[in-house]
Amino acid sequence: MRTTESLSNAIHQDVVLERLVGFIDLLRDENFLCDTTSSLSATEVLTAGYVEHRLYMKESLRTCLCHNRSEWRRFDDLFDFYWRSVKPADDEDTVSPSSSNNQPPEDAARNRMIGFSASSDEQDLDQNITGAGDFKTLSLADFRFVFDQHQMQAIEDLIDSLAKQLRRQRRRRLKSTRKGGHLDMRRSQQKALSTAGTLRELAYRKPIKRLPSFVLLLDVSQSMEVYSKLFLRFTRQLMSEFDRSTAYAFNTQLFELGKGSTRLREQDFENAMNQYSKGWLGGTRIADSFKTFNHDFSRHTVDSTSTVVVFSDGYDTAKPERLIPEVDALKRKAKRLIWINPLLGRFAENEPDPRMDCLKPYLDVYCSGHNLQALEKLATHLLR
Amino acid sequence: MHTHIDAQAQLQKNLKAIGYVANPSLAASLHLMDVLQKPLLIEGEAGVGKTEVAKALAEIHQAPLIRLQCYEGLDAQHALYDWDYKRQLLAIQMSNARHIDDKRPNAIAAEQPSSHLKSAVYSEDFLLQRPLLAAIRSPKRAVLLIDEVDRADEEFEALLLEVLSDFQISIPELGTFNAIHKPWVILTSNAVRELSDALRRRCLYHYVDYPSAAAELNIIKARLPDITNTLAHQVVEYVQRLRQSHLRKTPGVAESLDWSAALMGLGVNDLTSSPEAIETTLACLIKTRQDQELVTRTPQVDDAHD
Repeated sequence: MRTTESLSNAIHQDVVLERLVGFIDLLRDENFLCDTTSSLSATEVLTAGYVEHRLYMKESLRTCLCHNRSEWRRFDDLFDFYWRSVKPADDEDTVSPSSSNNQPPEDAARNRMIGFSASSDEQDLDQNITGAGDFKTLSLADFRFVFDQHQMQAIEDLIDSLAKQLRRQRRRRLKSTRKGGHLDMRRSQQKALSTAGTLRELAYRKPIKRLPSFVLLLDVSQSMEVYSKLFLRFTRQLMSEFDRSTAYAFNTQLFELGKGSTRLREQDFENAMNQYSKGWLGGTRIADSFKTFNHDFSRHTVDSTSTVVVFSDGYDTAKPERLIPEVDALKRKAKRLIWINPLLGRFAENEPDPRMDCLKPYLDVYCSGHNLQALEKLATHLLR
Repeated sequence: MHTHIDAQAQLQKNLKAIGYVANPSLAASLHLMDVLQKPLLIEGEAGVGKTEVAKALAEIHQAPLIRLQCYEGLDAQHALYDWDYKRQLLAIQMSNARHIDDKRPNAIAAEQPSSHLKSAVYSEDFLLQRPLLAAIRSPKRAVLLIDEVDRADEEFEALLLEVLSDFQISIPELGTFNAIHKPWVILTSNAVRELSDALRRRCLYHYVDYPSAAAELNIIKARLPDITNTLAHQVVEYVQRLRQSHLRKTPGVAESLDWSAALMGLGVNDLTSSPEAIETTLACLIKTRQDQELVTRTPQVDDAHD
């Protein structure tokens, strides 16, 4: 309940709360998990007096509005960007109530942030319809020669079934381990209660499900354009079947596409791609992207049980020597490192490739993924 | 207006007084956990002091620390509550024996517990409290530490939701138990597995990264007051550099403390005067064969980094 004495404070609070709503909108635009409960907690924090001190306000709002590491890392920039417009730049510690009234609306800040991301229209693949082939032909056709929309659809369906098949095979292996499960005496005793202690039915422990975890690194630069869409599809399907998987894409920079089952819709994938597509035409910085991955992400996503799969042609703006230590670091962390180079299908076997030859000693599998047959072979590698 | 800020600063001081060096951000999160009465999810690398936060909090509040260590396969019987089946069976058999003594042998009654007996064996007398129920029913406000929640299965997360949002536990046979005192709940995660949005939404969030060199120096000095300035600086510098190299297991603060203690135990006050001590005590920092090979192959950290 507001008293007359604190009327001016209340007006100030209303203004600040209005700004907070704008800030939460901005965070939601940036795919933060801000729900009503988080928003209420943030409101409670601001009304409790935190707004008087910029640093404490930032830390408190971060605790309330962030829900994972990625949000935690991005929060500071977004906070500074949004709230900087609320107060004079020279005031670092306090928010002046009067100054907040003179600021441009939060939409301005939001628009600037939204303007940061590029449009997707330029990247839509416009496929011409020229006819359809049978599955066998399709499985051997290099993806770059598939222009027919129906053929493309057929290939996408085959990729879907391939990922599902992979999952089924893993499940079969799990099922076979279920035989002879451990006796659970505690549950057996529990069941025996209904028969006054006579053990008529035994209970067994369920085996622990250990589906493999995949870390997928996709090159989405211009040179990979014809393959990216299908590899993305493959990645998305793989992730929906193996929820411990994580996908990243890179061109001039590295960004996360999705983790486990949290972000699997095709639209989300496309949005993520669009958001970071500004480096699409700027060449590929594989070494830099891998360095970022090793430094910022590999600690959380790669362990001795992970299979890292790289989809890339290896065309890097930097010299191959720069990539070696990064690939070496990745190899040491992961269980297996698989590199899929769709350009391999164009070269003769044992043809030297100065970009990739120096990396081969660090790779467990180096193969082509230029057609379905190659992807099927890949599936056998993934199952190991 | 500044009560909260003062309280945060005081909390930070209190933590430091018992040897836990918390940055203002962590102090803010812990204070908010208290103010908003919500659980706090702390994520971060292994060995950065996540579990220690709960211990320190229990110590400054003089509150009991109830710990639930999560693992694959953890279920309600180990986390919430269980029935003491052995005693229940004994009670049933004793009841049957009484029937026989009363010379009213009844085969059906002996096999099937009566409804009276059923309510008797499913009473609080036969209830075994597991950590979550113990924290809810603790007569004194407790600190509940749900450690490494990412190691538990997704199904277990669903079990936690009721406790974390409403601080209550429903037992079908007995009803709903509400918290006598809402505990301070701290969940820790190494991000081995992605946690569900539902769980995250019920918690405040804090990410603990590896400390800066200055912060790590403060931690070492707070935990090992007898360490010399030179050695503390050298340890911090070495470990900070080691973290930049691509090791399988990056050393955390816990490893820094272990290493410092080991060096002190060997009577080393300056690493430059006894460089062999690094190799002797490297086991405190390096935890895998591959990392050991990498570090010993390139003894100078600078080289290892390059």
